Order: sequence, then C-alpha cells, then structure tokens
Amino acid sequence: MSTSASRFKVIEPFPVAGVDPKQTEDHQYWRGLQFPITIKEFGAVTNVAFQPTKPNFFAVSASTRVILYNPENNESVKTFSRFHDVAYGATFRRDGRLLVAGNADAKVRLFDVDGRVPLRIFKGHTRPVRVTKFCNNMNEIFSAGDDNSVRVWDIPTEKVLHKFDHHQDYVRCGCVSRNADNIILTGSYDHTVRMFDTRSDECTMIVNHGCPVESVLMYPSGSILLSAGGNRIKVWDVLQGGRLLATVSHHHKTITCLRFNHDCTRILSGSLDRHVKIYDVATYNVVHNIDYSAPILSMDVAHEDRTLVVGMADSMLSIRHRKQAVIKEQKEDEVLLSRRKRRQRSHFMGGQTFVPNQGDVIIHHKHKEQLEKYDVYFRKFEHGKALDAALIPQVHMNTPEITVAVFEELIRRDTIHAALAGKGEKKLSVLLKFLIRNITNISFAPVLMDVAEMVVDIYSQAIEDVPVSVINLFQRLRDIIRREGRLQIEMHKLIGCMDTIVSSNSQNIKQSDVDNSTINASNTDPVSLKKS
Amino acid sequence: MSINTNCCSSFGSNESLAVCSTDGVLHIWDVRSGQEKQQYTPASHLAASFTCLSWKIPHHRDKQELNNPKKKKKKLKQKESQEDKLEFIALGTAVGDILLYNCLNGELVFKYSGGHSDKVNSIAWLNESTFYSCSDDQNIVEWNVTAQNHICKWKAEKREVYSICIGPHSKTILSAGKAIKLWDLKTKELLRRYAGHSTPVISLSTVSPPSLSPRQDASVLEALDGLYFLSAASEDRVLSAWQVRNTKHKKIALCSFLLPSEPVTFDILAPNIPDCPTYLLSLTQDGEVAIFCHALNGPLKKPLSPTRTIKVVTEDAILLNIISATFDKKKDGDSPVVIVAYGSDYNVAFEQINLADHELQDIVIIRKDPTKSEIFMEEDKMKLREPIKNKNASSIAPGVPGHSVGGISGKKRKKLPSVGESQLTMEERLSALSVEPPPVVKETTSAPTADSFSVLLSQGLQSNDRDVLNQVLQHGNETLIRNTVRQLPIHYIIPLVKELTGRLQGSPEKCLTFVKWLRAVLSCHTSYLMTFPDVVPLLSRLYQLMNVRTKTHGRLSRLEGKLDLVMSQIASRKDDEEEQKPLAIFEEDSSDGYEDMMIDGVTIDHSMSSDDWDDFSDADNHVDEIDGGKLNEADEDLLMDEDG
Repeated sequence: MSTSASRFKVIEPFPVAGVDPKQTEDHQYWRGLQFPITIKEFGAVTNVAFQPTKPNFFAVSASTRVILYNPENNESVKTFSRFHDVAYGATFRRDGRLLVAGNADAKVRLFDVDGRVPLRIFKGHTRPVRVTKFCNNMNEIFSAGDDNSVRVWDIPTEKVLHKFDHHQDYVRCGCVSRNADNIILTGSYDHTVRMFDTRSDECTMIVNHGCPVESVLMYPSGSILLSAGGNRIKVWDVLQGGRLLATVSHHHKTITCLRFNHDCTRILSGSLDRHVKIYDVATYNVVHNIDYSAPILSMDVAHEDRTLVVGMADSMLSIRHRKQAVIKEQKEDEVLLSRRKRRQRSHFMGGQTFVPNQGDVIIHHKHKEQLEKYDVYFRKFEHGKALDAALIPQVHMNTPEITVAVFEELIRRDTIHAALAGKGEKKLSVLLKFLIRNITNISFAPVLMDVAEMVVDIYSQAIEDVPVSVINLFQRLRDIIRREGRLQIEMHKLIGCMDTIVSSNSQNIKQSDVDNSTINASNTDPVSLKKS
Repeated sequence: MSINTNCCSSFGSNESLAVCSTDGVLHIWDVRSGQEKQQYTPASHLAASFTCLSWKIPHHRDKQELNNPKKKKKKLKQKESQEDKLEFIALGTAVGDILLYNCLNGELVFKYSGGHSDKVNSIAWLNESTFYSCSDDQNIVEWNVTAQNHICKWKAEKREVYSICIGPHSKTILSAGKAIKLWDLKTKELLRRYAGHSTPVISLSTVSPPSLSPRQDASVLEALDGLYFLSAASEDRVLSAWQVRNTKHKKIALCSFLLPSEPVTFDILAPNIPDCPTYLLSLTQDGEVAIFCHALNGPLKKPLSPTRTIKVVTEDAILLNIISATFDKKKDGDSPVVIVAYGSDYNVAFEQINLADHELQDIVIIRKDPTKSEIFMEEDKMKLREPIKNKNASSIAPGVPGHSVGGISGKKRKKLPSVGESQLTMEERLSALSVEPPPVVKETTSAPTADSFSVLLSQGLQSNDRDVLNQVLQHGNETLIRNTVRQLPIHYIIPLVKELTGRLQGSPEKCLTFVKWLRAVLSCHTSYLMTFPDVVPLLSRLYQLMNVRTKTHGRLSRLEGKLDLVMSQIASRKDDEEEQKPLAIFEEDSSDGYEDMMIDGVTIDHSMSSDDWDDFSDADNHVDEIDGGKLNEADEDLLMDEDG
C-alpha cells in the first residue's frame, strides 16, 4: 500500500441552512415511552393512582368500581366493587397497604389492598365525595366533595376530626403537604385554592385562580403550589403568602389533571384537548407533548417514570411503559450470545487481551481509509463516473447535500460540462428528477440552477434525439420553476409590506435603529444565513 | 357513537318493528318486506316525545269481552277479521301520558292522562285489557283499556322507577328503580327485593324455565320458585341474572354477562326443553349485537363473555348502526335465528341470521347503507326541466340561522314596490332625475360568515398542535384567510407569524399558501405590528429567508425562458409529426394533476383538500423512489460493465 504524502480531500457535505429538528433530551426521554396499551373500562376514568411501594399496582376509579392493575403485565389484579354508586378518587396510603375511595353515595370507604370488604366507612358528607387522600401521619384521611365541605377523619374511630366549610362550591381536588403533617390544600369550583391548617382549624391561605380549579399540586418542600383550571396553570409562592409567580397556558381546553414526574423536575398536565404536556419546572416552558385519542380526565406517573397511565372520558385507559425493561432482556441475550461467540473465536482473537510491557515499541495497525465511491472516482479524475456515483438513489435520496457538493466540486474543477454530457435516458431522467426535487431548496438553488442551465444548454442542441419521457421531465422542471417564480414575485411583494411596517415601526421608536436593521436585513447573503 | 340513546324500538310478534324516532314520530316497519307500513306523528310530538313503547300481547278469542259498547263494536269487528294479528301499541311520553295506538288502521285509540306526573319509563301488558306503567314520579300505575282511566296506583320507590316486567302466571310484577322489587299484583305487597344496579335499569325480563308448572294451591312465591330474570342498566357493561327463591333469598345477582359496551336492549330465547341452554342477545351502544348461550343453573363467580357477536358494516368498513335485534321466536329449530334491524330511524333494513350458518365467533355482515338512497337515472325515462328563474327573484336556502353559506344574500328587501309617482320620496325622485345609475346602498348589517377558522387556528396556536395547524394553514382561499386572520385574537398574531416563518421552506405550492397567510396577517394587522416593539427581531428571520430565496429570481426567470424555448421547439416538432398524440403522452407520465393545469396555462387553484396536501409531496417522492429502484439496478449493471 502506497503511503501518500497528504490525505485525499474527500467531498464534504454541502452546508445546509435551516432549522435543525428539535432533538432535546426531553424529547428523547419522553419518546422512550412505548406505544400505548389501551384497556376499556366500565365508565369514564376519573382517577388513576400508583401504589407508592413495591408491587406498584395502580388503582383506576371508573364507574362503580375501583380496579387494581399490575403494570408488569397490564392485567387487573383485583376489583373493589362494593360501591353503591360511582366511585371517585381512589388513592393509596404512603406505605401502599391501604386504599381510600370516595363515592357518589356520599360515603368514603377504606380498603385493605389485600382485602375485599371495606374496613371503614366514613359517613357524614351529604353529596358525592370526589377527593379522598391520606394525611401525612398515616392514620388520618381527608375527603372533600360536592357538599362544599372538607373533612378530616380519624381512621381508627371513623370520626370527623376537623371540618372546613369555607368553600362556596364543589371541591374537586386536593392534596396534602408532604413535609408538614397538618397542611391540606384544596381547589374548588368557586375559583379559589385554600390552604387549611388542622392545628388552628382555619383557612390559612386563599388564592384566586380565576377559573374553576380542577387540580392542585404542591412541591414536596411546600414552598410552591400549582393550580390548574380553565386552560391555564398558575404557579403560586406559598412562602410569600400566595404571590402569583407564573401563568402557563399551552392547552386550548380545560386542564383536568396535574402530576409531577418522579423527581419533581417536570410537571405533566392532561387536558380535555387530548394532549399531555410536559413542562420544565425551571422555566415552566413546554418541553414535550403527547397526543391521545380522547379527552383526558386523569393521569399518573409511576416510580422512575417507568409507566404513564392516562384515563380518558371515553372510558379508555392508556398505559405507556418505558422501553428499559425490553432493552435489559436484549442485553442479557447479547451477553449470552457474545460469550458463546467468544468461545468459538477465542483462538483467532488470542492477542486481544495482551498488555504491552514497558519499553515495548508499539506499532499501530493502520486501517485502510475507506473512501466513498464518488471520492474514488474523483481521485482517478473520472468525473462522469463520479457524478453517476453521486446520483445513485442511496446518495441522492438520503443525502442530497452530498450530491450537490459533488456538483460544486465538478464546477470547481471546471469539468461539469463533460460530466453532464452524453448521458443515457435513464441517467438523464435521474438527474432531472433530482433537479426537480431540489431546485427550490434555498441552499441548493444557486448550484442547481447552474447545473440546470447547463443541462438545458447541452441537451437542447440535440432535442430531436431526446426521448419523450425526458422531455416530460423537462416540462416538469419548467413547471416547478414557473411556480417558484410566482412564489418569488409574491415574496417580493411581502418584503415590500414588511419594509413599510419595519420602517414605520422603527420611526416610532428610534431613528437610528431603523437604518441598521434594514441595512442588516437587506445585506444578508446565504453564507451569513448558514451561520445563523 | 350510536343514536340509540334517544329512540326506543320493539319487535312485535307479527313481524313488524315499531321505532320511535328522536323527533317523536312512530314508525312501523314490516320485517318481511323491509317496507315502512305506517308512520304516526302525534299532535304533541315535539313537546312530549315518546319514551317507551310496548306491543300488546297476542290475545285469544275466549278472553274477556270488552265492556264499553261504543268502542267495542268497532274494535270487535277488527278483532274478528284480524284474529291472530296484534294491533295495539301503548306509547309512553315524556310528560306522563300514555297513548294507545291501533296499528291496523293507524289511528290513535285513546290518550290516557292523569296517571303520571312525570316521564313514563316503561309499560307492560298484563292481558287483553290491563297494562301497567311506571314513571319518574316513583309510582306504578295499573290501567284498564276500556275504563280509560287508571285503576290503581302505588308508590314503588323513593326515586325513579325505570323498568317493569310482568312475571309468569300474571300474578306478580317486577319493578326496577334503585333496587329491583317483586310485587304481588293482587295485594300490591312487596315480596322480594334485590340489590339492583347503580344506574337506571333500561330493561328487565323474565326467563321462564320449562319446568315451571305450579300447583293450584301454591302461594305466589312458591309458584315462582326458581324463576330467573335478567336486568340491563345503562352505563353498565354487564347484564345481571337474578333468581326468585322461595327460601334462602339472595339479594345479589347470580351471574353476569359481560358486554363489549353499554346495552341498549336485550332479548331472551328460553328453551322449550329442559336442560337446553338459554340464548340471550343484547344490542350495545356501539351498534353491535352480543349473543350468549348459557344454561342458567346457579351462581357463577366470573362474568360470562359473549359467545357470538354480530356486526353490520358497509363495504368501506363503516359500522352501520343496529337499531334493534330480536330472536325469531316462530322458528323452531336447533339453532336460533336472529332478526337484526339496521340503518337509521327513517331507513331501516332487516336481516335474518341463522346462527348455525355461521361458524366463526364474530359474524360480520357486509351490507349497503340503507340511509344512503340509491338513485338510478335512466336516460330515456328522465325528463328534466330547468325551473324558470326570474332575474329579480333571489333563492333562499335553508341553513343555520346566523350563518350565511355564501353566495346568497338577503336582497329581498330592496325589491321596489310598484307604486305611483306620487308616493315616491324626494330622494327617489331626485335619483330618478339624475342620469347616473342609483348608488348601490350597502347592507347595513351583514350576517356573519361561516368561512373562518379563527377559533381552530387560535386553539392550534395555543396548544401548538401540529395536526390542527396543518388543517387550517393548508387552505389557500383568499377570503377564508382574510376572515380567519381578521377574527384572530390579537395575542395570537405573533405566534402565527413565528409558526409561518418556521414553515416557509419546501415546495413552492406550500410556501405560496403560507405567503398568502403572511400577507393577510401583515395587511390586516398593519397598525398592530407597527406599534409592536419587537417587530424587527420578529420579522428579520423571515426577511432573511425570503431575501435569500428571491435572490435567484433573475437567474430563475432566465432558466425558465430557456426551458420555454426548448419546450416550444418540441411542441412545434410535434405539430409537424401528426402521428404522435401529445395528449395521451402527457397523461401517461404526469404524476399529479398539477402539471396538467399548468400546461394549459390555467392559474392553479391552491385551495386543495386536506388529503391532497400531504399526499402530493409523498406521491411525488414515491414515484421517484420506484423509478430510482429500477434505475438503481440498471445503473449498477452499467457501472459493472464499465468497471469490467
């Protein structure tokens, strides 16, 4: 093998201007959720809640039942059907052993996760109970519902410990502070979010959301709370007495549920407009969006974001798992396979694990440089063949920028004329199709326009010999150019409009700014655009 | 979703189907011929639509005579002539009236009112002259056909009573409200109480086991010992089976039948021979019939799944709505025959399905949609005459109030009355004197137009929904764009400009549409943008993008000119060669309709339908790919040749 003094300069892809597709970490992370598994429930799924401890079942409240599902195999484990009417808001205790659920018959039922019969029935509400949650101290629960009252119950005695009648309308959501034992937060259709303290039996904080509140959420630290209602989410600072920090509105219909991801770095919101949006808590900007088929009523995220369960109004339950599990299995398989292979190939690969001693002279094996086919031809100065190699479908379909770069190189070497001439019918039609497809691309247009002009010049001289199919392609090229021309005329008009607006705008603000901006704008060329 | 929720339907045993449509009209269809026999619109059909209907049970001659002499004669005549046909339907209305309708002559026999104060939920016939009804007003009422008034009334529930059903031997009645209750008809005494459903029970029916032959001296309950009955509730995907037991009363359901979706109606085919399974069919809200085959003999822990399902679809795989389904009880055979009525309230088609003919579990019948009427036009028989249209007349089409469809304007008011000169106003006289044509008076208020997508667009921008945005922004109709942009709330303008800037790359057709949108934004909201402080950074990217693109305009025009010249050469050559047919060749190779339009020099209509939009670019690529694939092989051959 000859060692050339300098490496052959390979063709670099033609630089392309334009926006690169957004590929943030968040997109990749949330795209890791697999295709959803859907299960038909008995009615609209009003609540979904994951068990915080190991089997990590999730409880689904729909129609007159609460159903426990196993996320491992997506099958129902158990059904609690001792409800006389529609069941609402089934949630687990922190230790995952007890489950509490409200009911439209105004009673609250407490179940053992392993049992079937309710352990406790709390009677006292007068209207359907929508929210039931365990308090932080494990032996109290709080419930709220359509009778506007919020009650705290003692589990052992089934008695009401505290009753708050501050709300003026249905209470539809609530949560407890994770670090304080006696703070309860509820959101109501009277547009307010109230914070109650069980020590003082009083409402300690009120914030007005401005819409019926459908969901509330509190950070584990208890310093910031979020409320969702209407099509906006509001962020409130608790430590500053309920100051509004931000208003986020990325849905076009009512937001029905809010959840944190596992480590509280992202917020998920589900809405009746059939989207789940994911927000970054640092900026409250949307980082990802997941579409569903029906209005979303409820949602929950499993430990480590392994599973996303969404309950919808058309009584469908959608379960999305993260791909991890599958990858692990594959890896195990791979390990097994590679071990077997290693055994077989062991005597070929004997020197692989050799560790050189000190003082040994190490000579690296030189890998032969793999050149692309068009590069090979360029090296041999076979320009016609290089062009053909750049026009094979794998290259010109997938990486048109390479093909354009080859054209540019041919122009640079001033051999384009020879390379283009004398093509057969098939090669010529491939070339023309490439031109038709890419001549309107802003980045390629200058180069391809030259090429097109040359092709026309070459082949128009012997137009009688050109077959009909190629003539049709010429016609298509003409049409697309004509359309592009019309577009550019329209664009000129639009630029005129913009000039007027920009100049009058700048006059309003500052005279000096005008000149700079218009000069900048009009002096831009493709190169500067590419850089930007 | 199906429309089953609001109408009720029932098969009579003389092979007719009665359907109450949502607009309160009763339709009676003949199952055999599939023709509509009768249609009855009560006077109060809009105020009080029908909520339930019940066919009178078949009667026999030796039944008791009617007492009312006036009606008797008329009725008896009909009965004698049409002995074994049944002719009465009792219809309950939303205001508490019950109408008795004669199917034979299509007349209303009597209207019973005063019994209920609220919606009638269900009607059950006891015998020839007596029927019962239940209502939202918590009562069950006993009626006599001839007495024309209610005989007896008792409160059955604290809430609504949804459904009733007469037990075998006509001694008991079942009622379903919050709970299901069994009453003695004679004493109106509550005999049994069952847990029932949490949602309204839409249907209740007994299964009479063949062995049920009571002793003469048996009490009411003893006579019913072992009787099964079934109940279906709305919003509940199960049918529940219950049993009447003389001793060891159980309140809960014995077994349940799991349906694919909520039930609408169900029907039972009880076996004549003991130990044969009972067939049960249920029509669901999805417009699908589920059939169960199960011998009812004791409690079951797990709900049963359907053994067969029936669906009716069109050839395009559109699910047709099944209105009603029943077992054909007249047929005696090993396997049951199901009669299915599908279509809409106004166009019903019938289908008889023998379950033994089909082996698969899911029976899918492919039929034409009866609601889509077929019109055959025979040229020689057709005489079509254009209606003579007066120039002064304006046509008014029915439409949604407040939304004019376009093209139709309310010019009626401007019609000049033929009045004498003396009655003209001064203005009119002056205008008559002047030589100029009278100035066109503008309509002071124009009706809002429906050709606007502003709500959809604002929703799409709010949630950044790609599908919705594509749906809106693909439209290239100038007036539509202008209306949409004009009605767009002010805070969506900047997001719209950003969105359009992001899209302004790619094929000229798409870009042209977006440029139209941008121009509409700039022209409609000029003043807003002039005052918007960050307009320069907002527009600079757009400006750069378009500047780059339009830079090539001169060269592009030159190239176009060159190509035009070449094409004209070819055209002239083709004119010389007469044997070639240029039209045929163009059709052969043009992959889409665009070129055809362009060749003729016709301006392109850019308002494409939504489907064309995506397909256009794809199709183009696709064609190229296919060609490319072929070429690839050829090219490689060539290359190999050259290498060799």
